[in-house]
Amino acid sequence: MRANSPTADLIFTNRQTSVYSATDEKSAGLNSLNSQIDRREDNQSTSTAQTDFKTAGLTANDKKSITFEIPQARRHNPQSIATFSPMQEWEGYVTEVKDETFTAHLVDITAKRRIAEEKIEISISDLSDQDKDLLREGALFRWSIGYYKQHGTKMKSSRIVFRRLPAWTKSDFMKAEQKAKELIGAITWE
Amino acid sequence: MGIALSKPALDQLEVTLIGPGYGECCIVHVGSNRWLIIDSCRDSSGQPAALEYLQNIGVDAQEAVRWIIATHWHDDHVAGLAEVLRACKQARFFCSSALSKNEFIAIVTRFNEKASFDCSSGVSELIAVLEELGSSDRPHPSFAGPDRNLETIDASELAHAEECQIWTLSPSDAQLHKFLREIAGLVPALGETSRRFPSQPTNYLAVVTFVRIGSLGMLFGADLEETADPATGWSPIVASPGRPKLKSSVFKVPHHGSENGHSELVWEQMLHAKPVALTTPYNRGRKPLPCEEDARRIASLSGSFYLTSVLSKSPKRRASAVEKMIAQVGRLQPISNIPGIVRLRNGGMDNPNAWVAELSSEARQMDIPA
Amino acid sequence: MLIDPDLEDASIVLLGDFNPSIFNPDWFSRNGVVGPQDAQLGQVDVIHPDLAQFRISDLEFSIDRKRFQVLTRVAPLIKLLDVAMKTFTELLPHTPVAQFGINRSIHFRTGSEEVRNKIGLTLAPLGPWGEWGIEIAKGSGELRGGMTSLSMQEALKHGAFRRLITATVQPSALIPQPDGIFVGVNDHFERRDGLRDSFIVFDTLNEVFQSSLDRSESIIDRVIALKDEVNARK
Repeated sequence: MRANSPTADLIFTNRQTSVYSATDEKSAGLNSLNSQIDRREDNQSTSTAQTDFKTAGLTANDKKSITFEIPQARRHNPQSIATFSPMQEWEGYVTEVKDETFTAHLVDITAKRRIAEEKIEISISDLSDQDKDLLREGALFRWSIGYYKQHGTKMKSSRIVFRRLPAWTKSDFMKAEQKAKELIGAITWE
Repeated sequence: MGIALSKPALDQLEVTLIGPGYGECCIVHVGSNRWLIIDSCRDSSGQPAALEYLQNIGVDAQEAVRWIIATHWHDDHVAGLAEVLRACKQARFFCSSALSKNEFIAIVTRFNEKASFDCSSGVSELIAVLEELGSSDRPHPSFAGPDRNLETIDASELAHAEECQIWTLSPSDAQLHKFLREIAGLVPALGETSRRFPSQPTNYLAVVTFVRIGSLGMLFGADLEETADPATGWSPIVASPGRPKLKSSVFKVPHHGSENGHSELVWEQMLHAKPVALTTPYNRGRKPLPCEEDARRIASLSGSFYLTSVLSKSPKRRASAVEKMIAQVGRLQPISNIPGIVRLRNGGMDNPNAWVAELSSEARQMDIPA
Repeated sequence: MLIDPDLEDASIVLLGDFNPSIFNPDWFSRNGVVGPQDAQLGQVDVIHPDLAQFRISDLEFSIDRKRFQVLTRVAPLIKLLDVAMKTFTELLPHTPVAQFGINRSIHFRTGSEEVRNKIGLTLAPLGPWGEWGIEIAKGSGELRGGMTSLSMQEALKHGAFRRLITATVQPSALIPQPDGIFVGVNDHFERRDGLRDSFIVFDTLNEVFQSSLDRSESIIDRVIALKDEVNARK
């Protein structure tokens, strides 16, 4: 295989993004700005353009090209990209919360299981403060074990992250009520 | 399966208990290829255990299953129930009236709107059950309740020439009322982050089933726990003047053999001395059930006591680097067993009181330790 | 996956109508989509009516008027789903969303440029290219030619959706050594009738997310396995 042309290297991060655009993968992930935006390597200021946008009414033509200077710090050096790939991951649900620990049942996601086959008691102090707020019976979390890599170093890591699931909304309740009506209405009890 | 894959004779009675350590299912042959299924669980391949078992022994479930009872709504007793109902279109279905209550259905449908894909708590199963019960191509479902005779089959219709009756002995109105009060606290509030349907701590609503075949009785205790309240638990059942008074010689021990499920009154007044006892383990609670003490107690009261499977104490093995990191967080304990089967068959017309047990490799006869 | 890749990421991309200027770390934190401590560490590149790009902890957001993307390189990947679901089923349920994609990609090293080239030749042999293939094969060093990019696509129906699974293999642009390979899988869903029903979009996204990632990883594993196959042929 031969590497793509050097101009592709100037694209903000992964040059693969240019290929995604070209092949019409509409929902392909881009980890750079898309081609509507000019990427500037030089120090041309964007401030004038930004001032114009603050108060001017814009027509479609005005918005053809928007130029932003990409902060240097955001240009990815592959070594600086942090990744964490789990060797083992579970989805857990909290079954009991005590003063200092909580118990959870675990579904082995890595083994593609669908029911909980293990349980564990975990110290609440192992959770981040923002996750402690989410701790209650029935709460779901992911527990991942693997290596965190950045800057050429590799570090063992165990992460428990509580899932921030959508809250119940009026619309959910209305749909549930409708479903309940349908279910109740369809059954004739003897 | 370590037991013979053959149907019972038409005059033979059979009680088969399947328990994977999470969930249980009881399959009863009352004679002449008429079957009763109590509760549902899944086997290791994910199939409803009752359907898998009946197929394996050459029984056409659609034709042969006449009654299905759901004793209560804990997810370990309803896994696969909707499939069982769909496969057994002719079967009459019985459950507590909780399933018809708006309050219960409202909670279930609310939780179902937010059901997580891989932590099924039985909510989607309940919805599927309700949908099936509403379908027009099956008999209307009925309520189980105290001292309720679900079915009487004349002796002339059965190969063993004995009359068969199927009864439910619970739940009472008081039990239903307590259940509805308890679940009121589970209703999700607007704006509350969605979560898994929580477990209900007490088994107020369990349907106890009694099957009489001639002078032979079989008592299926579901998960009913004894309580201090004389209006709930086993006490009102034992005391009820309307229940069948025949004592049972086969006993599906309630609530996985736990102390909470034990009632001296039941053993004294509802069971023959030294009945055949069987139960399934449960290891998702604070402690595994039955514990050693429970097993000893039951074994001492029974002629024989069988457990469908024994709790695995060893956690799954993983790469050593993973296990080291697990150890830094806590100790993993297994909560899932390989499904086991205990099957009891009697000697038919010739020897109705002689029960022969067959056990799968996972099942155990629990003897009193020397 | 078969190996621990050198680099990897996953993302959810939504196509619809968005208002980029409302999205920022503080908004996500105030609405409980991310934790407050994570939001405090947010880094903003751009917040503009036509474009928002910022980072919150290990989540990278890129939003324009037609596209919403959230990407992460750090497990658990399920947080991508949770961000999308909480944002668009609870907070902004009336946002018209027509299509979505679940992306998974990795960069991995093959051990040598020779092995990488052999993998390229396995996926895209030069033989069918006739005379030109022969010419390409003659190149070496800075004149070496060959496969620059290969995509395979599977088209499926998924309920109301047309589903396109596209896997792309290229030399890695991010691994500085000449032995790196990039494999990316885009799992794309679009309504067959062209309707924009956000409810069904997110219902489906929730349903397929984990299995989509599993499938993408098995496709990626297939490419990774070529490394051993090529080595075995030596």
